[in-house]
Amino acid sequence: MNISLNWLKQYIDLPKTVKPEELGLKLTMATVEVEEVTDLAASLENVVVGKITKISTHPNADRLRLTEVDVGSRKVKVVCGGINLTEGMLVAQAMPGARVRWHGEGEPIVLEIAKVRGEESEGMICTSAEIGLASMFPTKEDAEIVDLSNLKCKVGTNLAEALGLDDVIYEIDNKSVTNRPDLWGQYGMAREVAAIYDLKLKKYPVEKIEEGKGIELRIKVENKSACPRYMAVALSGIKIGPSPEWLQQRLLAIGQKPINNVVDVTNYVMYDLGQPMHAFSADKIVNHEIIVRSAHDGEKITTLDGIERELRSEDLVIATKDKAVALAGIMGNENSQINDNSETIILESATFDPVTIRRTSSRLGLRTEASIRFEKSLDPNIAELAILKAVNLIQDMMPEVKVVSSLIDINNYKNELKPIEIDFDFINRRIGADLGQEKIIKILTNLGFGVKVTKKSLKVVIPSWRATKDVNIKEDLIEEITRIYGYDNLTPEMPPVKIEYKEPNELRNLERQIKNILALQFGANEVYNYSFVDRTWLAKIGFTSEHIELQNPWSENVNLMRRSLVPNLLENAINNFRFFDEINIFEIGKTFIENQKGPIARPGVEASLPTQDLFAGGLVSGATPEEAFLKAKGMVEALLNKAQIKASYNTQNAVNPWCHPNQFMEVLVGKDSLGYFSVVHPEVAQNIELNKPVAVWEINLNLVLKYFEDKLKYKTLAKYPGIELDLSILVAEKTAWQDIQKLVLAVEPKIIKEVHLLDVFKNDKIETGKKSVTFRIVYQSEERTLEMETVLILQKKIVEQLSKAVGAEVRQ
Amino acid sequence: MKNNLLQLRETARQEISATKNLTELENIQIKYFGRKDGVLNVLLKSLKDLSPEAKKEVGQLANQVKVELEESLAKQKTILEKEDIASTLEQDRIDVTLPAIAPKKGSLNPTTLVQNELEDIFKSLGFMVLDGPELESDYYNFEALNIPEHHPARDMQDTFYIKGLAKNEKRVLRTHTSPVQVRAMQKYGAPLRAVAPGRVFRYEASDVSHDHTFYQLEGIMIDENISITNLIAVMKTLLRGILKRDVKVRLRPGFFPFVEPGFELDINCLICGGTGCSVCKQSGWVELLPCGMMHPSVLRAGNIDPEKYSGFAFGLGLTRLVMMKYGIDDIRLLNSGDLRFLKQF
Repeated sequence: MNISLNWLKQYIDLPKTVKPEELGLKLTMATVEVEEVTDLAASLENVVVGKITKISTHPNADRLRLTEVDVGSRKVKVVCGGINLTEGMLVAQAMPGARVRWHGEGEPIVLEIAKVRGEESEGMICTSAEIGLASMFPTKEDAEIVDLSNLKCKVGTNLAEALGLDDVIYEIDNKSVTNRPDLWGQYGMAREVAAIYDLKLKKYPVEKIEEGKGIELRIKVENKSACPRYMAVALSGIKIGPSPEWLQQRLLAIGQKPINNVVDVTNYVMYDLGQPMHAFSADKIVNHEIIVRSAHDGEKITTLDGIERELRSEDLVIATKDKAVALAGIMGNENSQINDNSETIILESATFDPVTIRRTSSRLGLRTEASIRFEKSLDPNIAELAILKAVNLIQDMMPEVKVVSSLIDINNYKNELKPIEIDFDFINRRIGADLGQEKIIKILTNLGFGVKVTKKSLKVVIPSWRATKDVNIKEDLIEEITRIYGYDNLTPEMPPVKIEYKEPNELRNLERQIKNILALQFGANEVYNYSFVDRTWLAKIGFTSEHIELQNPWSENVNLMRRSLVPNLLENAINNFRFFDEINIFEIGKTFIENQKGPIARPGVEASLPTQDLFAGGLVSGATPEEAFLKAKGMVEALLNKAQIKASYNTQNAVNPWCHPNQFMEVLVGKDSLGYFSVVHPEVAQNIELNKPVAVWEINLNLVLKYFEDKLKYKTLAKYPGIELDLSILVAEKTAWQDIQKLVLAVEPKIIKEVHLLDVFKNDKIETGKKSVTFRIVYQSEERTLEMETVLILQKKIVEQLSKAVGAEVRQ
Repeated sequence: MKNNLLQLRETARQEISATKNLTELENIQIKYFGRKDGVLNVLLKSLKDLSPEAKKEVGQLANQVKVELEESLAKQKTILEKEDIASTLEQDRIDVTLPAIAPKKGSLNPTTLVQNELEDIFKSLGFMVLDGPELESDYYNFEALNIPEHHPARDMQDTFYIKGLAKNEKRVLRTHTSPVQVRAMQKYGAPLRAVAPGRVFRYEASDVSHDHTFYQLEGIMIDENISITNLIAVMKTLLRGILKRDVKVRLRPGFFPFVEPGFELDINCLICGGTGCSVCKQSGWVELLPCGMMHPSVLRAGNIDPEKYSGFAFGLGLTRLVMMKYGIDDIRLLNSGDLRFLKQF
């Protein structure tokens, strides 16, 4: 939205000492975000109105012409490639020093006297795009120069002055006025400026109108809640034509194209007061009967932009008896718009329910200057000011125009907002400073609030233009007072706080420890993946478990919420194997399972959200599947050790489709499955073209935390030396190491302290179906120094035990 | 006898200083001090044949010579040892420019690094670090934060919706970390000081500076009489911790339905220092941190009495800080899983 400084000056006497840039900054600091301040005159400096007095051919170029341009004080020679040059034409002549955009593109450059194909040219004759006036002078072709022949001004006049563009424009970020219905017009903004500079705001200039006869307007508001106020009046004697220069200038300055006198007036009023208006051609309104009603489901209308739209019963239309003539508060219909021949018109100034307008305009994707304003909750009182102002303006420019109906006003709106009581102590405490009662009262009064002062408190009456939504609690008043006072004028002060114990976030701490272990100890790289998964990818993996689905996914296939980290990790692997031979990646993130066992959705209601447990997951490659598997196992064990968790393992039923049935282990604590590690199933690997041995793992950190015990205790250092003996045995290939280890330890737990695996191998000297296992046994007593004899006896027992239990033979 | 001793001292001194290595020196030592045949010992043994007076005189001298020679030997030993090491050093040259033997290096995602850093700063200021669901109810993401259905503020946050309802409750992917505000108040009550870093989602097209998934850090502080001047002071301190230098800040009005009043906090542009450049669009200021006094409706949603307590809330763009810190020019790299990028951290 653009604000014009000249327009503001209609309503306030701004001291000359206030610089335009400073005003922009003050607005930003107190009211709304000013994105850009543009001095229109400055951008047109050294551009004057010139008159072409002579045109001749260019000796060296067919498309160029040599012209002589009268710039008032003298005549200059200019080379020009314009296609519409005529002698006697008034043009925009940019003199050396002017800033223009070549062909309307890029950053502006400063003109200098130059030779163009050997001929000297003092400046240039401009197209509208070259001097930033494309919206004011639209062109059909690029090389069409601006024709100013209609201007009544002296040759040599500065162009900005000639066009009435000696104005400064403030571009406001619309998002920063979402909550301020009163700031969608220049008058409301003038009120803010008045409050900021402590100036007097002039009363809005509007005169009563003389109601007339001839047309009996019959207005019926069927849906009262969607239309709290509807005003209308009929005018006759209209002659559609261009609007006067001052009006065009106002609109042009804020970037709006003038259309015709009636439309320009309704637009002017909207940009002035923030109240959108509509003009119907009276002959299109059957019986002069207007009905404000809900649309019928499936009702079709064609809006002014020529698009046919299908409506629903939640939409609001303006209709005659037989058809809709406008989509209320959003856009008129083709069938009722005014045209060059309209003599009698009906002006509409109404207030519509913000939610209704917003819902319809979002659904239809049709956002207009009108709908943007209505959805902010407009003040119904402004509707009246607006319609009076519009009639005043039309009658000013066309004195023959008569009001031919009564001024209809169907008002179902009541401002039920009571004055807000606020005491000075509360104000001071919330601000953290005492601004002084006088200052506080002045700020509120300048903003239009009614203020009654008692000893300790204020009774504040909210003006109608702030009462629809914006201001209704004490805290809103705090904002009003402080922002005008200036946040930067406050002295920061640290709050006094009590020292308290703050409960640590154990899950976050665990997460951080695990990340450090994986990255620092195992050299793994942490990835972040999206929480979404591609359903076609899941199909390739064969992951058929039910996934939570997005209603509006950002891409058609990526429409599911992950319930495991692994599918995206597999994709990471494929992508990274293009650049790396080895991969060890991990991710810690939330997964989503639809089971209504998660956090509550709303207090006091039974509904719960899906479970969103935090998982650690990883993928690691190896030279062989076994190596990859053992690497994954190493990481999972390290994580479990960190949490001092003693887990048991399931090697039967693989839990996920990507798990290898015989290269897999599930981690169990009691009945809880904490996670698993597994080599990727060859079939899955084949489907996704994963050509290297890879293992994946996943651990549920919420469950790890459940069993986490910080119970590490120191063990007394051994007092007596131990003896280490190695043993090599031959056993059946399928004999598990863990079983061997258990058997050995069980022989004499008090003395056999440790059993380490040293080596497992098979070769052609070893009988088929068997393998060689070498391990080291640590014998140590806590009571005495062991004698070799004792140890050898135990070693012998071990051999016997292994032979008996798993058929082991000692290798020599 | 006396002369012999003096002669011996002179010869021995010369021989000692003439030695070129430790072996030669050792031989000299044996030659003079050897138990059996050491020249000095042999000489001293002949002392017994002298008269008691001469014995005393010569004995003293002999002792003096012995001590002197031992000193010379020790000195020469130190010199030779030094020379010896020096020559070894010369031979022990290695190519110090060879690549290091590096341990296998892993990496943490840059977002993790910055998040850890921020959490530590907040913990040092006595803030709890909280967490909340990423898949939220419409209630916690919007309603409880004073954003009813059809509120225009919903436009500011394009939302991913979950298919289906949970017992009539609409569900969304949280569009900000603010839902944690209400959950935290319900759980811990007042007073409360907490931050909640985390993943948020916006339904929008992605490009180098936009992604549908990014990270924010929410913060709240609630106590009796928390004021606007408190907010400004705390924000300044936080920024000093985060940016590791004093920065000029300015506070201006900003609209967010869950705060009243609401502010945009700008910092002096770190690139140009406030004089104006392309990064700050010539304004000298960069928008960094939306904040405000918690809206009484939000406090009430958290079961906290807004008459007794007040508080402030703020939101930090965590992902934006990550990009600023490491000069990352494409936001999508952060969630790409691309090891060429990740291994740099």
